[in-house]
Amino acid sequence: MKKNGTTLLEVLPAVAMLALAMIPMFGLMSSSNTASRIQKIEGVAANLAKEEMNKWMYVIDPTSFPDDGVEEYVNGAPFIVEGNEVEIKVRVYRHQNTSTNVKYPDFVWHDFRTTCPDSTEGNNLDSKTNQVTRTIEEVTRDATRPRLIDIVMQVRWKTPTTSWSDVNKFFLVSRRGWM
Amino acid sequence: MDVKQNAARPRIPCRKRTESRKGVAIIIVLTFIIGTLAFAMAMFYFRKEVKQQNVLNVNFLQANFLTQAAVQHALVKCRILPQEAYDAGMALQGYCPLQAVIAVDDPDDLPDRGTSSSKAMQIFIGDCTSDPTKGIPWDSRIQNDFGIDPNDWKYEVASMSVIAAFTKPDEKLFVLTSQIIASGTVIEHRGGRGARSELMTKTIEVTRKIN
Repeated sequence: MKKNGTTLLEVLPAVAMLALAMIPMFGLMSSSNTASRIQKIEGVAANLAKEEMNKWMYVIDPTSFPDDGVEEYVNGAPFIVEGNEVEIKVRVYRHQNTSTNVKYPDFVWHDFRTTCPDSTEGNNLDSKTNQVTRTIEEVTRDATRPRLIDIVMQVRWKTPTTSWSDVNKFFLVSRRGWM
Repeated sequence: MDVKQNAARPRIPCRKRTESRKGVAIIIVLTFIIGTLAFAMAMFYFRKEVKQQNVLNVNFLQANFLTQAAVQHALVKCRILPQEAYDAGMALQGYCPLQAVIAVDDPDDLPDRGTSSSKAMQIFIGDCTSDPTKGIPWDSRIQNDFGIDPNDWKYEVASMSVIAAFTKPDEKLFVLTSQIIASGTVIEHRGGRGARSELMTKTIEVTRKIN
């Protein structure tokens, strides 16, 4: 009796093992595909956020900024990129000139005619320098135009098959000087 | 007759298959599964690498915008306190801040530098930070609105040095070229990469009308 070849008893467990191994593999493939898509849109979201933050830092006139602490879409609505959504919201917080202090040096008077010939400093100014603290309003005589504005951007992204999640989110925080 | 013909035909030598092929199917399947698993692992690690790259990029952006905040803060101070910025730079150079340097055509004719003092500049840039103990902290509403810990988002002006001082005689202007070095540090908990810092240098001119 010939015994060459494979028997049904061999093939059946082999096929069962293959099936058992392939089920999680297909799951992995599927989740990998979703994750790749999320990672791609994360890169796009980072680039969009950088561009938008640059605009809010240097291009947009602060008079056009939203009210203090009010949330606003940077584009009026989420960005749609290849079917994925990127949501960028911004809030600004103005530091009031009347309550924001600045520090600056104040020099003690010294007789520069004898000790500082030709503008050359002859004293050790470390002991002749005091620190003064004043509000911005006192320094600039302007209480209306806030000189420092905090800008916070919240960036989120999702694919059509996923939902909004705190995992797919980051913040950009900066401070703009209104010259 | 058939027997005769067969007997006449020369036999072609061939290796006789004597080994049993029992269990070969399982070995083939196992080999295939191991190969596929190795491929899946490689794919998984590649994906993880891409993910880390994205986190790194975002970390860079966060730290970079904090650094830009520091530069903005320093620029605002120079704008609202130009005389003090100039005087602090003069003291750093060893010139008396109470009197102006006379405009000269030849830079060699500038007065000699005297005793240098960095205290004024330290005071001037000392509050250009988000550190609440030294400078101007982030607006307190940010923490409530976004759940952001202000301690994770910091910036400061590390130094402001004078790299050149010269006169423009025609304009009766004394010019200090100053270099602002700012730093920003963020601790982003997403990705768990710890603190990320960035440095930025900005060169500006501080001027003063002189006699």
